[in-house]
Amino acid sequence: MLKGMSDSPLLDDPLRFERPVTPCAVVIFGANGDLTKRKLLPALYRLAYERRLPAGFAIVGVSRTAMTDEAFREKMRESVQEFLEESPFDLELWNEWAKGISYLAGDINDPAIYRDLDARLQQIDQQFQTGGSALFYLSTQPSQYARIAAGLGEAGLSKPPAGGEAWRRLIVEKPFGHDTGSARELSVELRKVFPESEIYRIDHYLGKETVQNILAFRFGNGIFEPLWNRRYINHVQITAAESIGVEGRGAYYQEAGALRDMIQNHLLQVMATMAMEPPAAYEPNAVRDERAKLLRSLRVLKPDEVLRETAPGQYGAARVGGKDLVGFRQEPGVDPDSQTNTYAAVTVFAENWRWAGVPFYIRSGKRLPKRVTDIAIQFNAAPLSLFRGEGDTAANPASWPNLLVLRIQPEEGISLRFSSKRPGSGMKLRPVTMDFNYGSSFGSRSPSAYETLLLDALRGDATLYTRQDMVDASWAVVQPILDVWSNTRFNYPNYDSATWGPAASDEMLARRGHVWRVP
Amino acid sequence: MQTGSIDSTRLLKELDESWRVISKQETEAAGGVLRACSMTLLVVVDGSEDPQDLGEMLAEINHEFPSRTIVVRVADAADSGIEGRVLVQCWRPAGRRQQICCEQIELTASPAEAWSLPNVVMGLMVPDLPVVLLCRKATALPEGLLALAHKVILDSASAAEPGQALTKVAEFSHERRFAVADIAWTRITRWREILNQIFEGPSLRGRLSQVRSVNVTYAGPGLPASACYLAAWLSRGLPEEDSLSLTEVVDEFDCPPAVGRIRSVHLAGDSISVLVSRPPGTHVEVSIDGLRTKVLFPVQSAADLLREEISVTGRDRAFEETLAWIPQVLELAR
Repeated sequence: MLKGMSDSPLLDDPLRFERPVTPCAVVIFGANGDLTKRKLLPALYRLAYERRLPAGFAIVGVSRTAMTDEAFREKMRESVQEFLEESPFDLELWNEWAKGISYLAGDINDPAIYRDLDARLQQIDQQFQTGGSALFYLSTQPSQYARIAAGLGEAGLSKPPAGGEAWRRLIVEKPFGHDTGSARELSVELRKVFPESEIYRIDHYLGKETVQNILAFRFGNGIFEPLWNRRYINHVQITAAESIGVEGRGAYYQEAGALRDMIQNHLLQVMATMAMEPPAAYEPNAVRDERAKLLRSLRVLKPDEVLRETAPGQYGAARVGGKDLVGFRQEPGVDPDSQTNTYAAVTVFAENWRWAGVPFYIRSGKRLPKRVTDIAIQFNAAPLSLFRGEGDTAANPASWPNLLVLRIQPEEGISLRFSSKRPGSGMKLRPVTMDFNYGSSFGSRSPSAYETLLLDALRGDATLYTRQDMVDASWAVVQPILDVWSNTRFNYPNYDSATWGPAASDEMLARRGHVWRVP
Repeated sequence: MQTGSIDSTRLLKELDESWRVISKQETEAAGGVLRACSMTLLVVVDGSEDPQDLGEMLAEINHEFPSRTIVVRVADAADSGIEGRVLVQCWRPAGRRQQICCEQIELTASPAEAWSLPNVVMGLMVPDLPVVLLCRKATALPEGLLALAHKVILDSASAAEPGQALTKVAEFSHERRFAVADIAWTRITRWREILNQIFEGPSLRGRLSQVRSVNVTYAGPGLPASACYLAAWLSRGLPEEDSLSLTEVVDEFDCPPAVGRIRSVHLAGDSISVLVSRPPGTHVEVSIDGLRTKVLFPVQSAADLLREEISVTGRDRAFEETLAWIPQVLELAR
């Protein structure tokens, strides 16, 4: 290999191909879990399929269950074949690539596992020329993060071999703590072992093409940014709805709830992306600085404001479409007296010059009528209604305000609603939508969020990853709400399955003359 | 098709799959396919409604108001179970190579299961566009669907007892959560238009105040809702002391149902006489102070009537004001 070949401008052709990442190993703790089989291995396989991974690449799965390398490879092959999305499976490629997959069984509380891992990585380095770089992916219970990080540190695994360009990085999945205190404790524990620059906190929503497209839409076009502020925008609604219930994970979900599970991380990050200032450059820290700045500007609710500006909910039983759906409290593993919120709606204000006075309504819930995640930006009405006589109620407005909807999932795309004249005599207006749909505009396959995020982590690009200050700022907003909710006994369940949430959520908007749209 | 139970996620997936199949079938030479949608049209029907007639009407409506149509069919009590299926209906406008296609979702349930459908429908509506609910029989309307609509279109003429149906229409209108329309009111648009044109004409402008009596005749048996509306509309525009009368007549000729049952309107005073009468055919005869003329009065199909109502997106003040006079007319007719 020629020295410096990877840096040669003569061989680069960014229009045609991307440079592969530098040789490395990926170590997955909790390799027997759902995330590995459904998301991580399919994503890594797909990266290999697209020639984004170097020849010097290996995967080590770590978990408690005893298993041979071969058995683990076979299990991963089955998972990849089952969970690969919109992508062909090439058995020949797999057979070659899977030679770099191995398995290590052990207890994360036992120092021996880390010594074994060290030995394994050295062996891999010799066999596959991985160059000493390694990405440690903690796909385990969050309660184990600190222990694993400490174990890696004690075994010297958090530091790359000296005298080279090797790196060692750590990826952790949300939740980043259970509350403000535990989030900070976790951060302290992780940073004892890895520098902040090498800690990658995954929020897979930031890896979605449609969320990334928000930045492209805002800052790649000249026409929207002048309107992107309090002078033109009336309010914003961010919705993340699921039609399913807890699906057998009641015991886990009981400890989390919608506010912790979705709003504290995913939806506040999505809001930050939508509302942030333009970064000075499209570089990891420049972008994250602006996200963090937005999150820090969010008004923290006082205790006496919480119940007015938030609405928790819990789904009850219902018969929908001929099928009986149980309520949350009847789900397996759930306390029949549970106070867990399966729905949460909050009103958030960004106290800065751009957004002062503009409410951001954020809601998320399970067992809602459909699965949808979108951001709806409602613009102020025209200052003067020239076209009268078409009706004037809130439920049937004379004019339909302009609405820009950024559809995150499904039917990824963007639509703009405006009023148009109906053909014929007179000036009768009707609302119409102008649509951009990913599927019909771009025929090529979109990478999954994990493909994007894993590739970025392997390349050392943290733009789409959450930084500790962003975590702290999100918790600062959510913690006061959790404090009040945990000291309040709510009359649950308060919404039927397959409805859009509790009446209190509608009342929260009605106080400002707003209405939840039906997404 | 789903049977046994239905959920919106699966139906939407089936719809996506239908689009994929259609897109693959259309070659470049054929011009491609355009998915068109300007609203959600919710149609609630019972077992007595002819599916073919309904289908033809909806297909016609889609040409001018492309929509995702959700047909909720409340089957006869003897049927049980619940079914859902999706369709895509396409047409090629004259002179164009591209096909325009609209989506239709059909949900069928027994009366016992129909109440569990609104939550499924909630997940099927097209976001951010108007929702129009058509239910020709007000009594058959699942309550949960009303909450979803921006506009509710009923047809009091299809009820066995128009008086009760008209009362129901008035109740809905008072709720003010949604705009209400009645096809029976739409049926008299041409009558109202003609009368308006007559009194806007040079010979009668400014002379409406001279009218002292109004008589509406209709073909029996029974007072049709449209005659009630016409009488109420006329009452509202006239001084209180005028006398309003409704007269049932026997048709001398066979009259197709689409012609309607109003046979004439006579407005008279000391020095004014306006008679609009409806013989069979596509004209009405207008007599103004003895001078006769004929005016075009086309027969309107169900699709024509529905099209007219859908084109009114907001509240109809004339209709709402007329509704306030209905109790008086019903009292008079007793």
